[in-house]
Amino acid sequence: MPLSGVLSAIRELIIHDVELPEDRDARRRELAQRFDGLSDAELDDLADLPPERIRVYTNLVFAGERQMLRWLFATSLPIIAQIIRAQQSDGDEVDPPDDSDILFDLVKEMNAKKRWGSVSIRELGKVFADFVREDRSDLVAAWAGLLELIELERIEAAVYYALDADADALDPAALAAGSVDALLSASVLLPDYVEPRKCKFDVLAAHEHRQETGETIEPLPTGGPAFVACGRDPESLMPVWVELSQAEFDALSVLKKAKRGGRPARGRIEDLASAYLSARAPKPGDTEESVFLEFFECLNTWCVSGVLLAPRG
Amino acid sequence: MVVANKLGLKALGAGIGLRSEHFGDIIEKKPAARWFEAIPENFLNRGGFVARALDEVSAHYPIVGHGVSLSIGSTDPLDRELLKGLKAFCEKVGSPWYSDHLCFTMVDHVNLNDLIPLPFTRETVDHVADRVKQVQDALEMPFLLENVTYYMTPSKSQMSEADFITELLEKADCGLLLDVSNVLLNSKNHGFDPIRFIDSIPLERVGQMHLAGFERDGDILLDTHARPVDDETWDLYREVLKRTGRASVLVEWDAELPSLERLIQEADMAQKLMDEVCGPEPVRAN
Repeated sequence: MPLSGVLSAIRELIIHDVELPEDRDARRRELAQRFDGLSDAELDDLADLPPERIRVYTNLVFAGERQMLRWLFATSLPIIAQIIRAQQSDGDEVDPPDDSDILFDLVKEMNAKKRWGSVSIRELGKVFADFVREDRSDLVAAWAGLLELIELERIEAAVYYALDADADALDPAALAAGSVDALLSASVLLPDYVEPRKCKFDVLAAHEHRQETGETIEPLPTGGPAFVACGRDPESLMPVWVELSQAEFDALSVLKKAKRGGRPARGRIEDLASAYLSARAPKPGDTEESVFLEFFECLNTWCVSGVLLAPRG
Repeated sequence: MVVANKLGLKALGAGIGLRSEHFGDIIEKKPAARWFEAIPENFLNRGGFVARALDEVSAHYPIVGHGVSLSIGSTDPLDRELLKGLKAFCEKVGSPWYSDHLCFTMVDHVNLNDLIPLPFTRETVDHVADRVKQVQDALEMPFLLENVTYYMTPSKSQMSEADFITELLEKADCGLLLDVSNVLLNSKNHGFDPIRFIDSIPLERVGQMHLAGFERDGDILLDTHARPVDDETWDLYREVLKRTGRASVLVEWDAELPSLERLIQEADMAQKLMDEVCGPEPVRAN
């Protein structure tokens, strides 16, 4: 079908920022080599298109993607731009390229190597993450934790947009007001969009530092793994990151494992408490009461941050 | 002379775009906006803050859906899941009609995420008209196509843009979202008379209008939506109103986004001109 050939050719010229000769006849020859399914008339029409007018669309498309990626990866992208600027610098530049130009070229490269195949901004984020991991290992080598930071930001956007769980906020004060038995038998739900994560690098600190100060820090490798989870504040509905201990991570992972075959990740507080106590390393001076209070503080954090909710029904 | 409107859609007056940056102000201050145009793709399959904001706004204001990803001109199949989502969105907010752009945004399953123009040919007319009918069957509500700015024409045109739009609207039997700014930009970028253009298209099919600011980039004017509406656009808008009568008009200012108050001020200007040209708004009986 002729229309499909024309639209496909336009797509390719835009996305691949094809450099066409200024001379119209030379342009036509190159287009004929590139698009062998088009008729003579269609090739003539494409050759008549001023290349700078096609470039208007290339600029619009890549600038648009750059803007969306800047929203998704507000911490990672400036770091990536900094790395690329350092790679390109010969140390003598009076006027180094700014982030916008660097990131425009990066988006152009991403489109040459990967395909954004839907209208979903979340999918665009995944395409970008895959591109950095698979096609720009130099960036990953230059900044420890880059892939973990990108993943953190992807998770944060996913939490912001996620569909609501069939659950309500858990009120820790109400839990505390009841009996211990009532508290332990209360049902809890870990929303699908909450993904407790184990990180090699302290990327959450880098992310929060950037959000507060606008500056980039090198994430220091932690002495052991770092554990984090992103909930959604039940009041503001904004993403909230919480740092977890190993024991908290293990406890929440028990709930996550309860999610099977479409069933939500739910359980009872006593399941969480039991998993927490099993994973927790004993401390000098531990008493039953002090350990219970320690667990209750964790529970409070999980409720307030929306990591845990009260399932309906 | 005012043409009789074929679509029978209610004239909502001058509205503004619903932008996430303004959610807080809209919910808290309940400003005097007549209606909001919402991009459904910003709300589909989304929960949390975005969903709650939409619920709050739609409880207090009329909302009209205007999409960006239907890709009506593409040769990829229509996205049936998207159409289901759009229908559900419009029903949820009570949108009186739905609109999207006369262009393609995706082909070969690659998202270009911009409004790429179509060839002005009979093949395109037949192709798009068929797809519009499928969209109308799926949405079960009035559907409008918006004329876009074009910086190139993908193949030699068999007809003028005005004839292309006219034939397509008649064949598809759908409405027109007349982007007045796009008419002006295209007239300047491609050298035609904008008044002759508006007199050549079926204004009786206009269900809504857009107005927006633009910027110069070398020898062309770009539809950036990043500036206030300029005087020439206001003048063309007046000419359109003389022919269509009262309408629903949306001020598009969504890049370099101004404050909500400034945006409403721009819409108020559009409303003031409408009242001047068309006479005061009829008083509705209680």
